[in-house]
Amino acid sequence: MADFFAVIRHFFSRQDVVWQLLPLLIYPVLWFVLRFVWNYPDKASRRFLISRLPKRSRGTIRRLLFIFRRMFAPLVSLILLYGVRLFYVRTGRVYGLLDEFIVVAWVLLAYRFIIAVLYAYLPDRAVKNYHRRLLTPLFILFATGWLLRTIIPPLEFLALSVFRFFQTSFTVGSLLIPTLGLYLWVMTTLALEAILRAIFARRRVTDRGSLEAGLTLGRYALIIVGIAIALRSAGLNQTTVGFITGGLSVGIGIGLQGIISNFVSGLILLFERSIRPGDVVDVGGTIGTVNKLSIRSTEVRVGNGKDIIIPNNTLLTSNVVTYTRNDRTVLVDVAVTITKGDDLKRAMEVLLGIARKHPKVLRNPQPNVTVSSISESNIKLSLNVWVADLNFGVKNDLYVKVWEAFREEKIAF
Amino acid sequence: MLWLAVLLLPVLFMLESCTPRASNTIVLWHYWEGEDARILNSMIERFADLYDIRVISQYVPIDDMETDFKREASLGFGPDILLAPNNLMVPLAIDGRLADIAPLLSNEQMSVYKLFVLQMLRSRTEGKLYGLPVTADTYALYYNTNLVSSPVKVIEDFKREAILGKRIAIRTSFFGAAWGVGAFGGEIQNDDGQIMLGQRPFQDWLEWLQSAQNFSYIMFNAEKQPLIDSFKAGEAAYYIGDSRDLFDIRSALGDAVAVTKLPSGPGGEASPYLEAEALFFNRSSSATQLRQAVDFGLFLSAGEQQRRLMRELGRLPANGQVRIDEVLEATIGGFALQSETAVPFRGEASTRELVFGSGREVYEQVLEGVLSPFVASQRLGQLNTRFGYEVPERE
Repeated sequence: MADFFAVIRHFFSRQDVVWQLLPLLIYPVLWFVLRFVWNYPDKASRRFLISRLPKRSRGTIRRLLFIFRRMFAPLVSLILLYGVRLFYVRTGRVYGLLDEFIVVAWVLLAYRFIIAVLYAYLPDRAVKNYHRRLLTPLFILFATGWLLRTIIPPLEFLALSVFRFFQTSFTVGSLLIPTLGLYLWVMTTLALEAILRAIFARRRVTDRGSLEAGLTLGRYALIIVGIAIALRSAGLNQTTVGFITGGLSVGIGIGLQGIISNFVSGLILLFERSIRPGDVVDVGGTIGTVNKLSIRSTEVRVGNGKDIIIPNNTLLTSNVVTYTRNDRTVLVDVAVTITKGDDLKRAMEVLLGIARKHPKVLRNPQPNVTVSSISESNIKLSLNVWVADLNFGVKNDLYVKVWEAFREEKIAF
Repeated sequence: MLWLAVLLLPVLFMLESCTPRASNTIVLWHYWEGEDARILNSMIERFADLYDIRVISQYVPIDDMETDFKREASLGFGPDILLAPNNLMVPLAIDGRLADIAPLLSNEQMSVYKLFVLQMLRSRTEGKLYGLPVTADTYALYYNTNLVSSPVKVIEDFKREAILGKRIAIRTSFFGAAWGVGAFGGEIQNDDGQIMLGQRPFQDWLEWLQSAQNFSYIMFNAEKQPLIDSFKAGEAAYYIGDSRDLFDIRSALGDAVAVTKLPSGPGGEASPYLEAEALFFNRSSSATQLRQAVDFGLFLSAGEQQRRLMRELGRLPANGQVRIDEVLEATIGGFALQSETAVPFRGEASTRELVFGSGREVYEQVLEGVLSPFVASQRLGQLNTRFGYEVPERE
């Protein structure tokens, strides 16, 4: 490794190399100047110019301008690199390294084009994920690898020894390949999960809880397998793994107790499947739907649209009421009070009629109306209906309909 | 901002590298292996002690050397010094990758080298000097003193020796058998590099080889190893080989091995190929690096190192002032004597490859009897058209 850096320093002290690096000094400066030049007309002026165009072509023009704006600086910089190259060829200078930079500049241009097209035609949020997590790392990897191979053959670089640890020699390759491999593995796992989720969403799977639990378990299983493979390919022998885990266990025991407790609770919840995404639960008086069950915490969406993040340990150790544990059908009770002077039978028929007409009320088990109590002046009725999934809207709908129907039937309410 | 950081990295590197400092490191590429590499490394250590210059030595297989050096040098990288056979000079010089070191050497420094070896490293048109020779090499006649008291002087004596039951191991690769052309009064190339194999002497040499096939004690083989094994085992009394074989043979036969000039023929002295191993210098090296690299070259060609290469590795010195002891270094003396009539190949690596490849095929076909010496000679003469030369008229 020391020799490698000595050779690199040695090469970079040559004039031929320094001359080729010179355009790179100008490259970023030029890039920022060009960006400034392009952005000089402010947004309002650009909008004004676009508004002068025919309506039908405005969208396309806006997109094309957006793409060109993203590519303007790298394009001009690339032309400059070619200009410098031509000058070097004419003056008999060495320009091989410059050719390598030109290749990277071309790839950069292509990368910027792909990104620009994606942003122009797809929602920002969707593109940003792939832009930052996939395309940018891929480009950086390519550019680094491409330029590095001019200094040292890739296999030789990967074989360079970095350090020794417990009789295990760590080379650049043994560190880099598992890291990149693991990153790609995790990215692929997440992509696969997203694809499966999309497929099942189309098929309208009723047992969303099982699906989510399965996907979460699958994700963690694949990630753990990936980590195991990465550690193995990094060349960690049993002694080293033993030492690391031994050392970590002390730290875990002291500092990470809470996290580990939640982690283990998460695993228990997933395996036991006592709570699954989609379940309607009541935790400490707060009713909501389990949105996401992750390894440390559980996300519960409550009625007002807010998400509550509950540590898994809390779910495992406190009393949790679940409305959808074995069956997602829920009994909805609509309590109605009429006066003794009203027609009881008619009132019961009206209530049943309302229940039967509601699309979300199940036919089986059948809705029924019972008399809950009779007092001096009132009769309390209870309309019991079953719905496929807990839906606060159903109860509300039924009350509205009862109100309307009783008014029509002149039943005191 | 990420881009700015990524793009600024090489710039910072550049600024860092532009900082003036005393550079005492040079990089050397070589293809020597085993004992050769060990001796080279010990010389490098000695040089570092004396000159306070660190030489980072890197092994590169000979087959990759030309392409690797061209690629690296085109970027401005590559070693400062390349230890390689002289035939790499032409392709690298044509590609503009080699530095002319003539301005860095005084006449006195150049005068220590054997003139014919130094000439091989000089451009014939511009007079530029592209390398410093380290060793010279050619083919000569090995014989086993336990089996031979007085070695053959003329080529016909090989047949007499064979009749007496002495085995003679002759290589029939184009390169290994080239010596016979001179013995029959011809030359492989003229001074302009034109192929002269379409002439009568080459045909005569092939005919002699065909006639020698009737002698069962004369062994022909295009490959070196079976022949050298036979000689090392004491079966063959004679073996025609180069000085690189000496270390191996001496380890088997000890003092029983002797080397002398190849036998002459009806047309004159044998003319084997002459080769040299030389140090070539990167054009992209800085002035300091080049100066230090040349110093290393002069160090390797100085008397002490040349004697070491001669004694420990059996290499023929490129330094003409190194005295070869007739008793102690008699084997090397044989090669030194032979080198006086040896000839270098003139032309590019690609030309050499084509001539040697076609030549080898021709030898094989003639010895198998599928091609007559006359047709074989004509065929090789036609190679001139491939290099833009006219086919010389047959005399």
